[in-house]
Amino acid sequence: MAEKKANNTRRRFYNGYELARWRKWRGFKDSWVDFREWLTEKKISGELIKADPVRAFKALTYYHWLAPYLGSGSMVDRTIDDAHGEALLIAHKYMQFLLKSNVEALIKIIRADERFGKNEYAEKMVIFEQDASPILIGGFPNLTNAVEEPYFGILATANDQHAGHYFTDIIDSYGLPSDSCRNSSVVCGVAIDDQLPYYGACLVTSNAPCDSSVMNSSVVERRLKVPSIQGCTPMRWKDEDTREYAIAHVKEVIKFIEDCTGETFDWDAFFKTVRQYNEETRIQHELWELAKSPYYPVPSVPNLLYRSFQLSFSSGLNENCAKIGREMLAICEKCVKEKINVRPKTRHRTLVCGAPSSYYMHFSTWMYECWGVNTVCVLNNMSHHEYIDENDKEEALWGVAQLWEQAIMRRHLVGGYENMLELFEEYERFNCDMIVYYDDITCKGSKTMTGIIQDTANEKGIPLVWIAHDLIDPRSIPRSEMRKQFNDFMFTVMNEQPLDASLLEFDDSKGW
Amino acid sequence: MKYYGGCDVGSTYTKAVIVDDTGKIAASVIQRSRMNAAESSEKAMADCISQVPGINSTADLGYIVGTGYGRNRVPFADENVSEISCHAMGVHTVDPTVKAIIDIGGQDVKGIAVAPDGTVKNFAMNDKCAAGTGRFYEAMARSFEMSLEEFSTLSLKAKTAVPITAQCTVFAESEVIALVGEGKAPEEIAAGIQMAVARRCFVMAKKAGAVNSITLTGGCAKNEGLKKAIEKVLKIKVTELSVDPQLMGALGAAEFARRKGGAKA
Amino acid sequence: MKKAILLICKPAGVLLGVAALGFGAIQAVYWLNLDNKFMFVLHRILNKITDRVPRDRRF
Repeated sequence: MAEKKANNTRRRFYNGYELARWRKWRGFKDSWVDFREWLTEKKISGELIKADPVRAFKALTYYHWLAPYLGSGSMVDRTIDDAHGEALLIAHKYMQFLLKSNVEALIKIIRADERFGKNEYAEKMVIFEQDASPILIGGFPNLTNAVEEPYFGILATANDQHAGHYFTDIIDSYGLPSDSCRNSSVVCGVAIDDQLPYYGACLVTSNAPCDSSVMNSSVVERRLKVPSIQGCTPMRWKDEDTREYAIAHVKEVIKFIEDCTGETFDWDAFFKTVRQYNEETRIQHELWELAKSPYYPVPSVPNLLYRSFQLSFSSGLNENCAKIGREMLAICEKCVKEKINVRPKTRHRTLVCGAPSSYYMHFSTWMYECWGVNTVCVLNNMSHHEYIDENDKEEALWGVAQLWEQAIMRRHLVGGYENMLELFEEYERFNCDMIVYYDDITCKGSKTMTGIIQDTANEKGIPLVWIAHDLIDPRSIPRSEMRKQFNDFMFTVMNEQPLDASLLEFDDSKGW
Repeated sequence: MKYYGGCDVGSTYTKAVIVDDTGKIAASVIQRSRMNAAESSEKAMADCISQVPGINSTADLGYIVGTGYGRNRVPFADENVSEISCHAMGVHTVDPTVKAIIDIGGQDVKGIAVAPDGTVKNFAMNDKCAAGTGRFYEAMARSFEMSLEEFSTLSLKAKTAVPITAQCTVFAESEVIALVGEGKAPEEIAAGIQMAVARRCFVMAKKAGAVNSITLTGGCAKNEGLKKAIEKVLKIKVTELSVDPQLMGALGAAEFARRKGGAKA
Repeated sequence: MKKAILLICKPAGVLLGVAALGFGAIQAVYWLNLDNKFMFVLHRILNKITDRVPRDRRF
């Protein structure tokens, strides 16, 4: 329908790669902001080597999953590509926070790794598996948490689209099923290939919501050789009947950590973490109120990454999380109050749901640049957002169980059907006019609901597009195929022409 | 009299249609596609043009729209439109009462919900798997050592259908050969094949919101046995189109060309 | 007087020149995306070093 222009946006990139030949010119003011923030990001990234250069070198030359983080600078560029004005600053600040947190987490892992020598840190770490919130660590001030899957799989693939399938190939050739969720499969591959760091006093696995994770957890537990417990609180959508069991099980997990580490659970310290978590939640609620406005400036991808971090890695443990949230809230309030429009290309407001593709984390950025489709609500962000009781112990433990039940990849994919149909309520709330549903082909969680979701969208007259992807492996459904699915929908159902025809079809299959 | 052209370059067949400025079909052509989509489109359109007195080349056409699998390789097209939109418009031109289409092409199957103005309301597509497509039927006809036309009416003679359990074209072919070897009646096996395809179409049709008033387009629409099977599975009567259903994409493209060309004039 | 001015201006000028060169170099790294290009090459090298899966176990 639209012909490619002679001058095309992609000429800035090497053909086949997401590596830019030169940086984007954003006008004097925005380019200065971008340059200034880039300097900060370089300083943050340098900390990874500076903290312990010898160990960092050993880790980089041993772990296949670590080198992709060298691409974090390019990843930041990709996720902020569609941002201008206040949106650019917000995007940079979110990404800097994420970079800093990632660097700190990777430093923790490298420092504690006994593969490179005995150290005092290994025994102080409690490993939490599969995006289960580490909030309980707040009650153990002398311990620190480690999370694994995201660093080996999702985040590594967000930096380099080909990072993850190296490990999923390993599990395929090992004989394990290859049609299961790639997120947990990656860690299984890491474990089989002896690429798990040697650290941790104990491991808390979770009932990450599928057979894939159960399969992979068992492999990881055997390889890690540390005591483990399955932190399997019920996943029955807001079912009060499970309360007694859930609270009892959280207590078991606490006792397990106490037994493994010799530490005692400190309720005062835990409630301090809970208060911090509630503050993070409050800020997020205020942001969502602002998101209804056409002047909401926050680009979706940096916010998604920030919120994922806040729920799965921090949950009140990282004080900077709320600090950055407050700063961004102030900027958003200013934009909405003064009606500053930093998303002028917006033609459609979309709600995005389902598990986003790790190898195409910046798909929302492309949607905006190519088609003017502004992502105003990411349903994954609306995982647990309730307040946990700050005084009563039993209520607080029920809150922890609910936090695990409603974690990312659980709340809107498993546990019932009312939670999955919430997407239509959020669609109304955020004044959207279309829905993009990421259809992870290996994710069984939502498969039984796809018919109902489609039927409901048809009844309500809501344009809904399914974007199939393979989460970690771009070889089965490459980025170009994801774009094609969206292009077909926009041309055919939405009757739109692209804002930038040069972004319709291009090759970015080779690297990063 | 002004004329407008539409060219639908498919994986298996290339279709070309020329309409006059009232939208009436002046000429049409269906030809086997070659490896080179540009050559396929040039030949088809040239043959179509030769049927219309007074025009000698594509330059004499007011506007041309390309569509189909090879739509970006139609060198003489003024514009390319998605085949989904063209099928919807083509069917709407022939019968505006039709609200849903199942398009079974050479390599893909689509369910299309049509809006009252002929635009697309929603669609669902399977372009990853050959099962239930023209390729599948070619493989099945080969197993029966029949032509496609002979195979398509074979199932009409059956009283019952032998279920085909394999989902995959490759395995289905093996299964059919095994059933033939077991001495099962060919018409009953053929009926089983038609039911298997119809069930796949059911999913596409439902995803596209098809409720009633459905029609078939694409080459497989001429398969009588499939039509009967789809009516049985969907419990809806399939609307017969007065124009060759395989031409719907090209006709829709020509109609888009007529509207665009007319507006330009 | 002239000597005094030169005493201050020469090192100041040198410093300014070095600072300008440094800023220019950083700008060049930024605008030509040299940091990411370097990391890309380094990443490829590290991939080769850390790829220990035998050929017969790869697809």
